[in-house]
Amino acid sequence: MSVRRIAHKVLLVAALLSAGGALWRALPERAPMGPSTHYLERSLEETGATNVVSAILFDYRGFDTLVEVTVLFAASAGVSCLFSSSLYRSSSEGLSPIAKRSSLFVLPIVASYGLYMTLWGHVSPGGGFQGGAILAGLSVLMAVIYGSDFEDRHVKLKTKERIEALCALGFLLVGLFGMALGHPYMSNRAAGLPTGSRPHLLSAPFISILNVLVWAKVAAGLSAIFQSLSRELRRP
Amino acid sequence: MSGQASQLTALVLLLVASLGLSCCRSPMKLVMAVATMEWGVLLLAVSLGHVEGGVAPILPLSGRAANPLPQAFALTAVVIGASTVALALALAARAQRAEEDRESPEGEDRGRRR
Repeated sequence: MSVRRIAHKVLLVAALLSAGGALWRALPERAPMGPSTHYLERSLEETGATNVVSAILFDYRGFDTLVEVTVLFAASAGVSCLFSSSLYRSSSEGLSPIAKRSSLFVLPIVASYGLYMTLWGHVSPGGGFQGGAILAGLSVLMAVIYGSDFEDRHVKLKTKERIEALCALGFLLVGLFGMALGHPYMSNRAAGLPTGSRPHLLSAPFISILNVLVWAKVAAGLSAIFQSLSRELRRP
Repeated sequence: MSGQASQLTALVLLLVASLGLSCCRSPMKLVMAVATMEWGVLLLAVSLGHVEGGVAPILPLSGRAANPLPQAFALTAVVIGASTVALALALAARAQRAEEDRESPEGEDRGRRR
C-alpha cells in the first residue's frame, strides 16, 4: 500500500471518529415525549386499541403506514421484474424425507401463531407486520425443506403480486370510510365509527381490518421477494 | 440495556457502516454496509425512546411507559429496510451477472450476434 493510500485511510478514520464524537455530544438523552403522552393516555378511548404502537401505526398515523406499505410494494415489484425471466433452475433440492414429514407438524403452529399475532395485534404485542413476516418465514422454511422450486410449483409469483395489489387497494379504501362521513382521510375514529371501550378481539374494528390487510400484504410481498431471489437464473 | 449503552452501540454501528461505505468496492459489501447503517439508525431511534424503568406501551400501564412513537417508526422502517436491501441485492446480483457475461467469451459471441 502506498503512503498516499495509508494517509487517505488515516484521514478517513479521523474524520469519521470526529463526526461520531460530534454526534455523540449532540444526542439528547431521550427524545421528548411530545404527542406520545396523549397517545398513552387516550389510545383506548380514541381507537379501542390497548397496544399503543398499533394505535399509532394504524390510526393516528395511518397515512404514514399507507405510504410505507407502498414502498414494500415497489420493492417487491422491482425484485420480481429483475428476476422475471422464465429461464431459471432451482438452487436447492430440499432435505431428507424425515424433515419433509416433520415439517407438517411445524406448519400449522407457525401459521396460526402468525394469524394470532395479527388478530390480537391491537391488544397485545404484535400486529400485521409481525404476523406477515412470520408467514413469509414459513415460505422460506418450505423452500429450504422442499427445495427452492416448491413455491414456483404451487403458488405463482403473479398470484402473490395480485394479493399484494389487492391489499394495498383495500388499505386505500378503508381510509375512505371516515372521508365519506365528512372527516379527513384515514381518520376512522374521528368520524364516529364504532370502537369498544374494553379491550377484546373486535374492540378496534378498523385497526383489525388494516392489520389483516397488512398481514396478507407483507406476507405476499416478502415471500415474493424471497421467491424471486431464490431463483438462479440460467444463461439465455 | 440502558439507553446510553444502546445509543453508543448504535453510534458504533453507524461509524462501521460509513467506513464500509467509503472503503468497499464490491457491491455485496456495499449492500451489507447499508444494512448495517439501517440497523444503527433503528437502534438509535428506539433507544432515544428509552425511559428509565419504563414498561412496554401496552395498556393498562404499570408504571411509566417507554415512548411508543420511535417504536412505531422503527416498526415501519424495518419493513422498508428489508425491502430496500432486497432490491439492492437483486440489483447487485444482476450487475455481477452482466459483468461475468462481458468477461466470458460466449458472452462476447452473443453480444456480437445481437
